[in-house]
Amino acid sequence: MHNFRIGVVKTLAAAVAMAALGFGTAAHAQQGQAMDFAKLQIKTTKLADNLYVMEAAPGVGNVMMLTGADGVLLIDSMFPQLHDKLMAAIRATGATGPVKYVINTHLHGDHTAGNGLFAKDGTVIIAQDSVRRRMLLPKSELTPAYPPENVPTVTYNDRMTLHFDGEDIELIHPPAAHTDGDTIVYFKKANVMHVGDLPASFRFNNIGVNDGGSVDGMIADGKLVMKLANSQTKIVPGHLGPVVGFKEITIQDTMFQTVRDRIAKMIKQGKTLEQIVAAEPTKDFNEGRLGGNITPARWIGLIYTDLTRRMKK
Amino acid sequence: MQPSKQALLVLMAGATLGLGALSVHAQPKPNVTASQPVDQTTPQPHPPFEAVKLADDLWEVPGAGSNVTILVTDEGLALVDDKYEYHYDDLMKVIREKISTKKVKYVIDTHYHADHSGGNTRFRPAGADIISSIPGHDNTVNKVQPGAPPNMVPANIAFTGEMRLYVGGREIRINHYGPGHTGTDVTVYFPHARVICVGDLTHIGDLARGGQYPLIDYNGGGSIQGWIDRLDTITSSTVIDKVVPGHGTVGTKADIIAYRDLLEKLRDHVAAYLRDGTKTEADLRAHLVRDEHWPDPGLSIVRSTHGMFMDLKPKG
Ligand SMILES: [Zn+2]
Ligand SMILES: [Zn+2]
Ligand SMILES: [Zn+2]
Repeated sequence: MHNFRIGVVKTLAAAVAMAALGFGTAAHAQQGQAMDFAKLQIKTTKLADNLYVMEAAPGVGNVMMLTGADGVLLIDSMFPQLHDKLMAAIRATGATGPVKYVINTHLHGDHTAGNGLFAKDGTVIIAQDSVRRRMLLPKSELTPAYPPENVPTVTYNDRMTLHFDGEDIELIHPPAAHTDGDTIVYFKKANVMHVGDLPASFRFNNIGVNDGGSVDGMIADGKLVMKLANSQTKIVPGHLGPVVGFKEITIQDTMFQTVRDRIAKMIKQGKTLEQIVAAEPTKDFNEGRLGGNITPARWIGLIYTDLTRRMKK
Repeated sequence: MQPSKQALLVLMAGATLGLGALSVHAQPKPNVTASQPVDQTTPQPHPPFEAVKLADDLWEVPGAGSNVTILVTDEGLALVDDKYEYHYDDLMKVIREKISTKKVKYVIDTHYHADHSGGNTRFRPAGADIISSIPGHDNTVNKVQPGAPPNMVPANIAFTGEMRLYVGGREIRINHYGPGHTGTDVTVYFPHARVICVGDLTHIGDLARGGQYPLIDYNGGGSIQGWIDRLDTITSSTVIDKVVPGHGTVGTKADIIAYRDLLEKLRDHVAAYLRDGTKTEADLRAHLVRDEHWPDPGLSIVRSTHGMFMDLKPKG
């Protein structure tokens, strides 16, 4: 292989990987579709007596809210530009009391950028400890800067349970998948589970290849979610909800495996990323999955980056 | 590292005299410093609480119930243990008058025993987040401790493995490893001051007054071997200047090692006594009381004997 070509491939892979960070406006700007926060409306769906999902846009992480006598608990925090709308949506449900906790499903800005405005009002931000560690890494080509006010102040490394508003809330840290700091949040009594950006809704999921994530981890954790949950569990995905079930997860998992195998085969055949993208390995899965934030080309790039890095080892 | 004078004495006593040393006490004193008095609901009179400074921003309120360690930050206070519920007013009084007027943000329970976590009943409604291990939460909910007050409040945040709190620019590391004094024990480490709170995993300063008869709460998930392993993990993995035990005086890493050696000696002694397979649990109990002077009835003999017998008798 010519050195020139390797250079091009590396640069393209890095660009794809950077775009994959899902870091809010930066990622969107790169796609030429910066979010116009002023135009976004928050849609609220009630899942149980005291549990709600708030959705703003495909590029904004879905927020869940638990409400009751102890106050409000949120999963993820959207963007600071949406803070007032999110608070209005919270109060519109009749929820009272302070927002006591925000649990982050992982570090990406579309799930954590809103942390700071909550923390300023005394909300405790909770996450797996890798979220904090990665947020505090010095900024580099592959790691975006995370504002210090968004960094979690209560972290766990294995398992955590919260007892709040009469619910038992389990935080489960699965093996690295979307990132190495993922948290699955399970509301035991209501049988509702927020799975962050693990495979769930129909889309080309971002894979945090620079945050400890991997395609194989995504495939494994898709299966794990179906072991932790049961067929009655309402599963809230990080994007494009409000709720999915085992059917969607199974189909997503199959897609991940099929496309991974296709790409791995082409890499072994010596194909470049451009050639692999041109071969359209996702073609038969594109239908119904183009509404997400990640295009097929970007998604292929993520899997390519992950697989080639691991083949080198 | 040079062990403190006190620790050296303990080490020497342990090394040269072993468990047999206990027999030099013709009249063993009652087990006054075991983890809990038997009556845990009736307020007991106690000398006024005092505030002891451990570091610039770290205080201790020793005395009745359990020792309480307090980190002071601009964002609020973090407490390790909170004595009995009936100590709450006196504890808050000494905190407010001598230490800080900031709100209590966190209370960390070193384990589920009521003398360490009874105050949750007041601190939780006052707005503090209460943190414990998941087994600690579950033991409180399931009322595992005999004689504990009926209104015990469990932690609202529980974990296994490691948890960290970042409050007012300080870091607090909380670790739960497994069976020890109970199955719920956590240690709380303040890296900036190199101070570790070990709850009842180590007795310091009361080794001739009851602390030498360990309460191994097998019902609550404890284990003598787990306890020894646990102390080894702590001493090998942590830089420690000061150790705050659940009861008694503040010490050093050497005190943890001395207590670990005491446990090992007890384990070996009991295992040797049971080795020929002919001894019953009643024999072991009688032996500990008659030859080793364990106070009877006492919490330690009542709570530790059955578990040690099942754990250390010959297998197979
Ligand atoms: Zn996301
Ligand atoms: Zn993400
Ligand atoms: Zn105890």
